[in-house]
Amino acid sequence: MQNKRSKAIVVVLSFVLLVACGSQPKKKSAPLKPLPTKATVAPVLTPELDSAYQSALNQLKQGSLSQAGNAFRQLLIQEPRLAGAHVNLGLIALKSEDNAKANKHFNDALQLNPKNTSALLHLALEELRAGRFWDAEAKLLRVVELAPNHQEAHFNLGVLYELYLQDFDKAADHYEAYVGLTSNKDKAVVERWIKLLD
Amino acid sequence: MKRWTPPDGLKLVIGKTALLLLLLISFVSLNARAENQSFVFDLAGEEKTIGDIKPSFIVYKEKEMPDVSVEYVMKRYVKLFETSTSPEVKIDALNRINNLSAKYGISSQKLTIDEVIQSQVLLESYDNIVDSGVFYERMDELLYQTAKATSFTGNQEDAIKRLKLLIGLYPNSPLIDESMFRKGEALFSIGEYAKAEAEYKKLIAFATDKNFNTRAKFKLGWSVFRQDRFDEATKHAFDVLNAYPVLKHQRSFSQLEEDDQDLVEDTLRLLSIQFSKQNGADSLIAAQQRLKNEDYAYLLHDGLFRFYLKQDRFEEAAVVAAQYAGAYNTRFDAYYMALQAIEAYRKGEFDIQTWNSKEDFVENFGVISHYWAQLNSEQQGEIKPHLAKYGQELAHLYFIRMQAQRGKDQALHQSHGQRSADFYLQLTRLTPEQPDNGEHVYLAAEALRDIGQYLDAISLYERSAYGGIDHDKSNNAAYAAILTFDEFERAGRVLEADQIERKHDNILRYADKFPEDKETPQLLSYLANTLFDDEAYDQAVEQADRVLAIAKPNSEIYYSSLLVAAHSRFKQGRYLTAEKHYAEAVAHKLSKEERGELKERLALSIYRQAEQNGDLLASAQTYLRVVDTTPGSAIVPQALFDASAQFLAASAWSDAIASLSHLQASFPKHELSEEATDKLIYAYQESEDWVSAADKLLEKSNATADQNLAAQSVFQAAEYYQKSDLELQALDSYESFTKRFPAQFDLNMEAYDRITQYYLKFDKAKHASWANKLVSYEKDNVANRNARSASLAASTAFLLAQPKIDRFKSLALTTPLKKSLANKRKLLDSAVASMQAIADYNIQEWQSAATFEIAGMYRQLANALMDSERPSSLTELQLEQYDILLEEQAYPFEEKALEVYEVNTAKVPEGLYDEWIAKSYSVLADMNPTRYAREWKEGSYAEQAF
Repeated sequence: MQNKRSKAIVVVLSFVLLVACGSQPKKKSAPLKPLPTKATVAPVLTPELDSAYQSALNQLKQGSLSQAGNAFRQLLIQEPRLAGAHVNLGLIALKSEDNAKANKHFNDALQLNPKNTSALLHLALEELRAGRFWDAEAKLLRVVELAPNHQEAHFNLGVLYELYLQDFDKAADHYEAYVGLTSNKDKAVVERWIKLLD
Repeated sequence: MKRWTPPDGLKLVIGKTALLLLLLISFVSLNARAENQSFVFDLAGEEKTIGDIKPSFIVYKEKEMPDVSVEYVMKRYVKLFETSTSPEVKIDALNRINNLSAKYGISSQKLTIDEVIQSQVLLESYDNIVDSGVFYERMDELLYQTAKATSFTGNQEDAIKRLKLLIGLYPNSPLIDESMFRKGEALFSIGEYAKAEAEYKKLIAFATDKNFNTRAKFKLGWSVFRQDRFDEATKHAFDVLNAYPVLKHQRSFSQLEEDDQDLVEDTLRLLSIQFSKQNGADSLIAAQQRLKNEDYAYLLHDGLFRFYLKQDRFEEAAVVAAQYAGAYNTRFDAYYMALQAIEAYRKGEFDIQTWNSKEDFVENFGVISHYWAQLNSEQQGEIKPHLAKYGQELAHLYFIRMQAQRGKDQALHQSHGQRSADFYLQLTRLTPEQPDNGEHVYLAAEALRDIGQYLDAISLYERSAYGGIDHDKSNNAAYAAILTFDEFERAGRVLEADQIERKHDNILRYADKFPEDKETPQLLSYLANTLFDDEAYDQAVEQADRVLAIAKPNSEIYYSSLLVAAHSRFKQGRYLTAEKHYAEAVAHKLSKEERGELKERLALSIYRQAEQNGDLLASAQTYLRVVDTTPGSAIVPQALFDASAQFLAASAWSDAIASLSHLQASFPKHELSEEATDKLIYAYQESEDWVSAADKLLEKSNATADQNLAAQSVFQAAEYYQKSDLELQALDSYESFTKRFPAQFDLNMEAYDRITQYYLKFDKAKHASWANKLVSYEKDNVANRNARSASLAASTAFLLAQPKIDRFKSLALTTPLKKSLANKRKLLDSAVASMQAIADYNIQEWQSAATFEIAGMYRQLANALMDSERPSSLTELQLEQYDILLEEQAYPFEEKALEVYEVNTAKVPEGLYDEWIAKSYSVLADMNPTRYAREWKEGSYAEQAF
């Protein structure tokens, strides 16, 4: 049985090859997609987790930093893949002026979700404050790549290009993007900056 | 047994008692068989001589004895003999007397009858019988008997007469041969040898009885001999022997009837007498050759030998025996004759000949002779005892002779020794199974050793000691085997490798066989030492251990083996055991030098154990055991040093420090002491004892001639003091450094910087002084300038310039403005120049700082103008105009300030950023908010969980 099947496969393959050689010019074959090294399962936010997450987020927004921190840490015990919980814990650490801890949480979030724009933005801000402008630029550009309508990212890119990297065209572009996106009260101020750049 | 011998060799010794018995027997026989038997004189049962005749064919039955004494009975018979007139009664009485006398051993004259009287009485009795005519029909017998009795009484003529009568009257008598023989005998006895010869020849010609024929030949020989016709006599004697063919090639004639034995013996005696009268043994040989008859060679030689011997002619006897042994050496009996020769010489006390004959015997008949090879086992067994006896005697003799020649005649010494050894070895071949062979081999070995044949002697010693059955000399042999190797060497010979090995094997065999022997420890000790010298350590240890197990602990042998055991184990790397041995050896009585040397070995044994120990701490402790056990050893400093290394490797800092400190305290001049300083420093560093580390570093800096090393040490010491908050010591060290090591540019820059930093906190004046020194030093060594030195110099110069900036900034512009402004401008120029000088160091950070300061001074000047004192005399309008003028004056400076700040911000796109640039942004934001006042927008919360 096995032999018959093998012979059939050989015949079919031979035919395919003959057809390919005779009727089509040779092409560079497309590279094969690498196989995943290990199976990944997308995290699923259960209603219970979602509810708990929102509850913690509300506590944070209300300024209950300690309670919010506990709640996010509890959530991470239940589901360690919650990148958002790390971001929020990083924010809580920043408010406590514990920059190192904050950075660790932001990096942890980015590890869990490389497309987490909040984590990218926070890390970019840390780099801006430290004068590592080129690193910050890359992260901010990544943010706007992931979230083209990300206002804060466009704004910060505008400042970065205007004052520090002194690429005024790019600065104008991002200010304009910001202006186009925002309805904040500083919109007019930014529009004036655009004019100054002109 | 008495033999019949004629006078002068033919003497007729007539036993009177026997004759009486004969007569008595005849009488009794006559009575018993008178009717049907003739009176027969039974020659077959007759003894060799007439005198020896006894009643061998008559059995006297025991009669019950009356209850009276024998003496009494005999007395009565004697009386009967003396008183009876009847010849028959007299003969019967005589018969009984003689029987009782013989049976009870009674020889009293009163109880016996004189022999001569007996014969006379008997003759008379026979004559009476003859005269009575009772026996007339047997007159030939009566004549014969009376002739015989007459002859017995010595009246040969009468006897001859009677015999002539018998022969003439009764030619057909059965007694005719006998009578003719008796006639010849009677003639011979009276010296009528020619007549006797004729009578014997007649008898030989006519005799029908073979016995008489042979006896007649014998007597014929004698008769001829008496007439000095020796060769003829010899022939007749040979004829007698030829009558007995069984005698051919025999050693003995015992197989013959007794009478024939006597006849042969007498014949041989006749021949011996003849040979002795001629040339002895040579005549014997000549006779044999002449007669072409060697059938009786042995008997003839033996006869002649015995003849000589009987006459105490020992040498001639020995020559005869030796002649046979030599001439007939293929015959088995030759050995016996050789033995006879030895015995003859011995009896004659011919010592030299005795020894020579013994030697000949062993040589000719011994185990290595051709003769021996031809013998069967039975024959060999017969000879062996003699060979053993003489072989041993000869071996001993030559051994003694060898000893006697020792140091005298070398050739004889050698020869005797070899002979002795040969004889001893022959003995061993003779009886291989004998227990005493071992001793013989030993003695052979002794002989060979004595004459210098050492290797052969050794082989024999080995054979004696280990070759088979143990013996009394086994031990001696085994020991001698070993010693002979030494003797071999003392003789100037060199032992080959295999011989040395053999010697060692001998020692081992000795020790195995005689473990309790007093020599064993010494031998094993010697062997152990030798093996050690040969670097055969395994074997050396094995033997040394054996000695230690059996030798007395305080003995020299024990000590010697103890050293071998120790040294060998040390060589083997078995240091623990070596240590034990050395420790024990040290306890012996030793000289100071010896003890010192052993202690060093002891120390080294422990030291090597430490080296072998893979456990760092255990290894370190073992090194320290060297110090504890042998504190005076030369290796102690090294042990301390190595112990510390192990402690350091095990992070046992305090132990390492203790070891190193001990080393430096006890051996300050030792080369390792200096090296120990580095390790101490390291240990102090690791244990964070910075002060001690610093102290050692300074110590090191003073000790070393290496200026780089010294400089680094001092600098590091200063750092350690500083680290320990001993600021003054640190300052002192840094300052010392700048003085001692001006050429150490990099470290000097750091030292200056540390000093400057210190004084910055505590002494402004000194700070300025040292800051200037730093800048000047760096400038003076501009050729060595590097980023670090430039940065230090720039930062220091920046600080040094601050007072100028402060003076500029603090100088307010007052009226008259022109004057004060001029002063301020002057200060500005000076300060700006200082800042511009900093830029020359080309250190980006300090360039930014200087730029920032310059910009700040311009800005301050602008502000100072605006804040300057207004002249009090101006009106309000004038004052407004004045302000406008001031603004016009200030504006360029403000613009200048902006431009200078932007010099800093312009560096950002190039990738540069520092605190001075950041400050510049801040100032610019303040000076031009529209252009520079910007805030980052912070990030928000993460609304999404992932």
